[in-house]
Amino acid sequence: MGDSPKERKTLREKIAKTMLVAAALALFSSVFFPYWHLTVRAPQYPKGLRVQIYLNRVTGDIQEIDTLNHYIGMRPLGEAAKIERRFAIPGLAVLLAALLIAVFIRGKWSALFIVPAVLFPAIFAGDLYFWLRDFGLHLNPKAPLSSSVKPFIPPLLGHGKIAQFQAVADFSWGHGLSMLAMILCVAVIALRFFPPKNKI
Amino acid sequence: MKSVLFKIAGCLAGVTLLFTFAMVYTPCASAKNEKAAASGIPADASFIIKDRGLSPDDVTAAVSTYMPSGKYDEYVMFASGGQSGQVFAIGIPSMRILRTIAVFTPEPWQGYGFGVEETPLTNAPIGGDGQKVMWGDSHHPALSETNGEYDGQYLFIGDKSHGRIAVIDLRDYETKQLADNPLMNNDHGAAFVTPNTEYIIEGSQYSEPLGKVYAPISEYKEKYRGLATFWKFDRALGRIDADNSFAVELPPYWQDLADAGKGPSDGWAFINSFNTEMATGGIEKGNPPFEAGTTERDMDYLHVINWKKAEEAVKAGKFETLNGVKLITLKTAVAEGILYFIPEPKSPHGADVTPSGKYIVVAGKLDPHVTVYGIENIKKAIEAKDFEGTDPYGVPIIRFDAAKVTQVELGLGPLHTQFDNQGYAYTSLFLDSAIARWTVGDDKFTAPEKPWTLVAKTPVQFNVGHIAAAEGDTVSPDGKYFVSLNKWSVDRFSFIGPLLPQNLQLMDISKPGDSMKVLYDLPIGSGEPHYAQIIKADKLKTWEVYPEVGWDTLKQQKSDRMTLEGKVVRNGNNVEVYMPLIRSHFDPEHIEVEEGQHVTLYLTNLERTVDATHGFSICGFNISASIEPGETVTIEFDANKPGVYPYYCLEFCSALHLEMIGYLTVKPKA
Repeated sequence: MGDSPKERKTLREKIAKTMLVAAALALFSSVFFPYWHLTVRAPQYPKGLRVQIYLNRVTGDIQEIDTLNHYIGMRPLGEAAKIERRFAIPGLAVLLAALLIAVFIRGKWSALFIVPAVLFPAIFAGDLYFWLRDFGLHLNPKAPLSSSVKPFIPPLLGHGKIAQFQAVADFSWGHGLSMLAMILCVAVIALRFFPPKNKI
Repeated sequence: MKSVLFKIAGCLAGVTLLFTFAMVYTPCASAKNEKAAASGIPADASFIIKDRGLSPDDVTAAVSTYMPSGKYDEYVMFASGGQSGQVFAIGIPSMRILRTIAVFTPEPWQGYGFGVEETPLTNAPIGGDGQKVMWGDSHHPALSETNGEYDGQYLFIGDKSHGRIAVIDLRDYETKQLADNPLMNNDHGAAFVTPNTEYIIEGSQYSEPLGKVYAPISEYKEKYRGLATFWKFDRALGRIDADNSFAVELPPYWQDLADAGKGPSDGWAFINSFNTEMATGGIEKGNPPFEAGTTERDMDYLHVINWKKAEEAVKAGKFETLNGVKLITLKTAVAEGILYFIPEPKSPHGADVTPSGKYIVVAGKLDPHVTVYGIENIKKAIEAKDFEGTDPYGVPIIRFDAAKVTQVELGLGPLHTQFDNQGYAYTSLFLDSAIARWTVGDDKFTAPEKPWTLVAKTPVQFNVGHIAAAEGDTVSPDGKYFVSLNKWSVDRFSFIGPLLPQNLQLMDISKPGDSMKVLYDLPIGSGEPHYAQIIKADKLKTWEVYPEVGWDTLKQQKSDRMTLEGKVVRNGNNVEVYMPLIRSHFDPEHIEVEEGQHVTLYLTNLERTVDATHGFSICGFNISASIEPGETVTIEFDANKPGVYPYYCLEFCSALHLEMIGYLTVKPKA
């Protein structure tokens, strides 16, 4: 490389800017994909029952899962994370706006606009875990099956067993995209704030 | 130092990316290729074969029909239920009875006829004894057709004993309409459909004075008549449209089986007859009994009806109206060239049109031949007025030899004919208890043997009536499977009392020549199936649950009586209860009324899960409802007897099914 350090710095910044835009795009697209899904299987449900959690909505066999959950005294899924679902889209818009601002400012302060996107996948997972715990541990003690199904924490990732149901939980495309955005943001921070030392 | 950090960041990014993609490909049950060991019979099976003394043919039959759990049949056969008044849906090749469809007779499992208003049975006609007719003699099923092919949308069936046609919607296998013929108390040539289900043909059997009125038997020739009714079918509505239907008056011969033409014979209908002698019986008066009087003449008449011309005549106003039916009189039918006769060997039974539509096969019954007529010959003879005279009612009789193509001698008691994709026809031989395979000289399918010859006969057990080949009366039969519907089973099954089951025998007809084999005997212990039709299963687009919660299954649309929440509306002496059902409770669980109040229940099953059906019964009341996922039903009754009546779910819906109950309390009047 015969370029001057200044030229190299400009190149790094160009890459950083592209990565920020890509991160914003990835985050934006993640709205259209589920972040997490849970499949439960039992002998009488050969196709299984599925719940898909998007940033702002829950889809899948909700009615059937609610019907089954009422036997163990679990609240309907629609009652979970109401506030989060309501503010998910405006919140994400703020996050996107922050990333775009970071494209144009490159000083120290720009890190402040990038860090939220870095934290976002973890925040989602943490909040989901909070609700899984909250729903699983607060079962109606007067429910028909309260004596046989004790409070439990549904799996956030991996396998679990609830009565005759085998549950498999996993993160999904939407969350993957938010992770991609996170990685890009981490890379931007590295590019901007940890430039390589002059090798010569 | 910083370059190291850079590298670490790069590695981290790479790993996380990998992780992301790994995550995206969620673990799913890998569809393992479960290939059965194709070569050799397992030792266990060999032992069983030896132990049970099974022949190689038995083993072939067993493996041809065995259906592993969770695998579906390739075909579905709709068989009439005879005296049960119902229809049976049977899987082929397994011959498992999949369902009894309630049609003319109340059936409590389906909640048919026990209080639910959303069934056509609530409009059942009043019979001669002043009572509601609560059964039927279901005879000939007919699947709806498009271009001469089964389309899997609707099934029609005739009730011989009351002169009715039922309409069954194959989206939910439920009966939607029972169309009562206002002119006749009986039918037999029903139901048969035209190639695009424009009309459903209903031919009468025993002549009566038209319009269900009195006339002495001494005035038989003057007052008694036969009838061919062409019911217009409104496919969009899924109903017979009586206003656009019409009937053709026929002489008082006894009309028998019918078929609609297709291809070159489209626009024509063919109906056999017997008793052209116009015998009136009276064995007790020293007259010849019907069985002798109706079989004196050597020839009867194949009725040839030009229904397209009949349709034009109706449009032109050339009809009389009797009991609301547009009736083309015999005189008009003759004058307009709607009705012709062709001699046919005496007292024949089936009239079946070949797949190409070129030929009509009439099975002799009392004559060992099938007689084959050609539509081109018939058309030419009509044009050339090649008649041998007229009958006493002025109907022109086409010269037998002018219409006939050939006669094929098959054996004793030929009754019904079906077709396959190899160019063979199959005719049941009632007296021989056999199925005759013979070649049709048709250009559509050509068998290796020379045309119009008997190829083989296979014995069946016993006294075969109707037969059904896979799609065997359409323009493109499938061959492969064939069912012989035998009237007597004699020694085929364990004795279960003197009333023996029917025997439906599945046969393999896939190979040419003398190779037909019986694969399976299915006893039917709940009625005598007459005709059956076999449709490719993938043509049936059946709902797993009703499309929306609150479904009126009679109207096939959302009901305004549905509710998501329980409520009771009291209005004077009327109590209306809107009640949702979901595992495992009713809402409300208490219905408190006073003696003499009129109660209406609107029950809605909120479930969206396959098979999550709830039933409903009130102990001590004659009420049984089946409320399938999404369905809304209405039940009305007068609470006339004070007392406490539990109501409960009739289907074992869940582990807490027994807890799915409520109480109806009827408080005595003060």
